[in-house]
Amino acid sequence: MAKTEIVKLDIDQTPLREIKKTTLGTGLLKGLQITMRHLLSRSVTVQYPDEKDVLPARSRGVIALKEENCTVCMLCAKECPDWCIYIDGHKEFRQPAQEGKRAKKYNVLDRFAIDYALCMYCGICVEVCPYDALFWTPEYEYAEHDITHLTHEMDRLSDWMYTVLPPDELDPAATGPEFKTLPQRTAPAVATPPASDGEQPTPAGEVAAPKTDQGEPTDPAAVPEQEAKVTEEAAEAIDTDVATGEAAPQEEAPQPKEEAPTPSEPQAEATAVSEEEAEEIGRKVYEEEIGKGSDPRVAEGRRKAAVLRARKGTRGPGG
Amino acid sequence: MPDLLQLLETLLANPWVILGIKLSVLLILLPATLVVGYVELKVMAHIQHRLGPMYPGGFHGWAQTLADGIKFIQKEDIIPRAADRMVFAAVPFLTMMGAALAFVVIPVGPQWIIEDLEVGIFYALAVSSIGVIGVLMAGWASANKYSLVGALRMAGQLIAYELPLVLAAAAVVMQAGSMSMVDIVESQRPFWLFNWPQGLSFVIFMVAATAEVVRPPFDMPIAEAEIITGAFTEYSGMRFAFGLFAAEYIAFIALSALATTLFLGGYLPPIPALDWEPLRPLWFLLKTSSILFVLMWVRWTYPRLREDQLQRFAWKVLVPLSLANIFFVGALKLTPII
Repeated sequence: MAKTEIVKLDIDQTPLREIKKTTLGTGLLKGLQITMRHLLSRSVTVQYPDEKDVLPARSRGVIALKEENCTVCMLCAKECPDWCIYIDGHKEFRQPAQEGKRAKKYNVLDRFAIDYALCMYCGICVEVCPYDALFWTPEYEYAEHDITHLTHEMDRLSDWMYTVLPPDELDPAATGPEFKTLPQRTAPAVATPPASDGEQPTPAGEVAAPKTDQGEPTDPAAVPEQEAKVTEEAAEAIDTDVATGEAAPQEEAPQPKEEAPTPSEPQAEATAVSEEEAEEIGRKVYEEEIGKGSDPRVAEGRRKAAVLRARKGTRGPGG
Repeated sequence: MPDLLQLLETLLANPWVILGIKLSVLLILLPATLVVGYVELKVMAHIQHRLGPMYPGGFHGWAQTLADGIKFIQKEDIIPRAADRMVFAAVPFLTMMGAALAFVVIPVGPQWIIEDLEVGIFYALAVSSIGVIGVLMAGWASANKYSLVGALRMAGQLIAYELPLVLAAAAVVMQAGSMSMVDIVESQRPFWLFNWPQGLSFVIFMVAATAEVVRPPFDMPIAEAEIITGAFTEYSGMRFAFGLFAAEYIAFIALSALATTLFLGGYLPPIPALDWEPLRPLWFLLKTSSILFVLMWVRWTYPRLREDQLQRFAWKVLVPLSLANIFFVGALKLTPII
């Protein structure tokens, strides 16, 4: 009984009654008013070849590959609904650091290709990648006359890395990502599993990685959990004790430190050069790239990377 | 000033000058369809927050409709094997002619008229209905069920809306006491910009005219989503352009010009002080363009009605309303107002 009454009340308060009350024909006039308002407001068209819109950093234009982060784990290729990712790799062995220890084996990437003629831009590969080797970039101008050219091989996918943008600022109302704060570890006891495998863990979170290349300061909010974090140089050195020992969580920026304090540094040209020399090297790289006919943006990105590498005195990724 | 007027009068007395004016009216009104088509593209685009054509011709795509015409000429002319070839080919002439003939009696100025017939309005409404014969021919000749459905819808629509259209015009004829278009305009001198005793007739006339030229929200006979451009499903290339587009826009302009003449004082200026002979075509053009714009505005505001709603609206609302309007105007005729 009581239920029926409630229902009755609801019907009484429904906005339908208000619509009934309006005068005949006002809806027609309202419609005309709306279209006139839209007629007088500015159109939203971007006249594409003449003007180009600035796309947001998270636009799904094309997928870039950060080659040195790839561990040939094949997760992306397996998860891809279109099966448009092709990966080839082989295993290599690294000489043990000490006599009598077992040689470490690691994967080497031989081929990584995405067929954009098949890709449906779902982004599952980007999300599933555990080592942040895949990134979205807002670039979209890669149409081809020949469908086979839409299969981007490793070189083209790596070139797209130079167009990856830092992520947008968080919305003011957003709380932001929450990070686990771990207790300060005093004893250099725990080894980091990825490093001991000879794989290269990411120095930064997925968003910070492209910044590392361009040497931009990283937003502290983007620093991910610190437990598995080691510097790139340390990882190369595979001395696990050193890697965990020097990891000072929280304060440390995800960028590799200026002078990597790795005692058994295997790299050859580990000497930092002066500012002018670094710029000179950068200019050479740029001219070389332009001479090869690369895209100016790619050349500029390579120049920046070369300057940074020279400053740090490392061979750097892919160097 | 009197010298100039005198000169104008002597000029207009010359039959060759008159012929020139008549030709120019034809030569201006027909290209006007291209202009109206272009403006419609732009109005539609901006209502939808787009820009519309921007490339052809360089400046804001002014040559878009011209380019469309050239494209249509180049297209293959296809006539279905089962079609009645002669009837099929004759259709565009009929639909175009019916619409274009109405321009004969439209006064752009008291002298700027091809022929001021004594039965002007009667003639205009009569010839504007010729087009439907063309559409019916297209429907039967195409040997296509969509074409036939479209043609029959067209015929049904024309029968339904011709009645209120003529009754609304009849009210104006009652007021003017003449069917000559110039007389009708001159009878509106006391009202200048808007013939207010005919307010209801104006609304009825505009609604019926929209249905008459088969524009949304009354475009069921050519509804693309349902019957694929109705009677013109099988038409392509130039036949399609003339039979449907050109005919539609000529009829559109003709009915707007008719409405201007009947209700908005035709070539009369908005205030008596501006009544100067050489400026009269300008007032006429301004008023006609405003009506054209309003009809475009309406077209891109309302969705298409259903066929039964269309018929019900015509017979149950518009016809009784226009009959009541005739009584109303007749009553006014007894008073000194008109």
